Amino acid sequence: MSAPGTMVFADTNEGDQLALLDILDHVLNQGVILRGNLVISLAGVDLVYVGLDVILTSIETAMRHINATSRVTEKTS
Amino acid sequence: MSILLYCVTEKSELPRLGKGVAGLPVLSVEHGEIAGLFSPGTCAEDWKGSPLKESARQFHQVLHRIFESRAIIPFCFPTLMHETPELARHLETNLLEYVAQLEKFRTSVQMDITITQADSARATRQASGAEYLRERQKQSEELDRVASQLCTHADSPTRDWRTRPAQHGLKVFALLDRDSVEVFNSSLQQFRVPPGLGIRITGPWPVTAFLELRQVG
Repeated sequence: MSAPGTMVFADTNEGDQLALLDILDHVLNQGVILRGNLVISLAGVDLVYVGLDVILTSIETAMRHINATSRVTEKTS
Repeated sequence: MSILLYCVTEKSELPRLGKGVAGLPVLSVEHGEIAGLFSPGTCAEDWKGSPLKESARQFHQVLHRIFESRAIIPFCFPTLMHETPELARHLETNLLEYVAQLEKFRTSVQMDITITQADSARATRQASGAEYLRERQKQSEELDRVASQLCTHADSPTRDWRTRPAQHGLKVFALLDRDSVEVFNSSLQQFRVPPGLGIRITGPWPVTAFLELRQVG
């Protein structure tokens, strides 16, 4: 037998009720993404170079954009 | 040294900005009608010093303080720039985009609804691959059906909806006016949650799921 359905409300105006997971989902995954000339360095060795423009987007439109870019890259490579 | 960015908002009548991540002051750079909020003199060590979750919580508190009274466009945490002139140039370059978004969502907030299945691992217990896929499809259809019912239930105070898959479930985002949050919550409280499902409603949040894609220089 299935467990009964549950509904929980958490108001962002009452910080104690807000789970850390909700906060992390928002501050890490949602909002303006700025990227440009980023070099990630480990022990003096440059590992990643990202040279992109600025995008102002929601997470799902960002994913659509990334997927579309990947398809173009696959076709041209 | 660098600066940590919080958000862009309209510059008029900014509330008291207070302290930010790691106790650093929150300041603003203004251009045209907008302001970019940041903490100066930060380096990665400032926010790596305390646990990341604590820094993220402090970042959220800054955003929340400002969002309480006005629309904001938050930056993802952590977004760093080298110096304030770089932020000023960014605001200048993207002024029209920011103004348009802030204008469009001036009185709007976002509510997040997470629908999860209590037994999301049910599919993985199936004997064959075909059964697994059938079970996954069944679960997905059930989530879509409940999301649709929720949207119908709270349609009156809601101006727009978005959905996206989430771990073990589905996320639904509702766009509504700031003063409609209570009506929205009340209408959902009447919703009968199907057995085996959990629904978590959080908000109000900035309208990040509804910002439109803009490729800006």
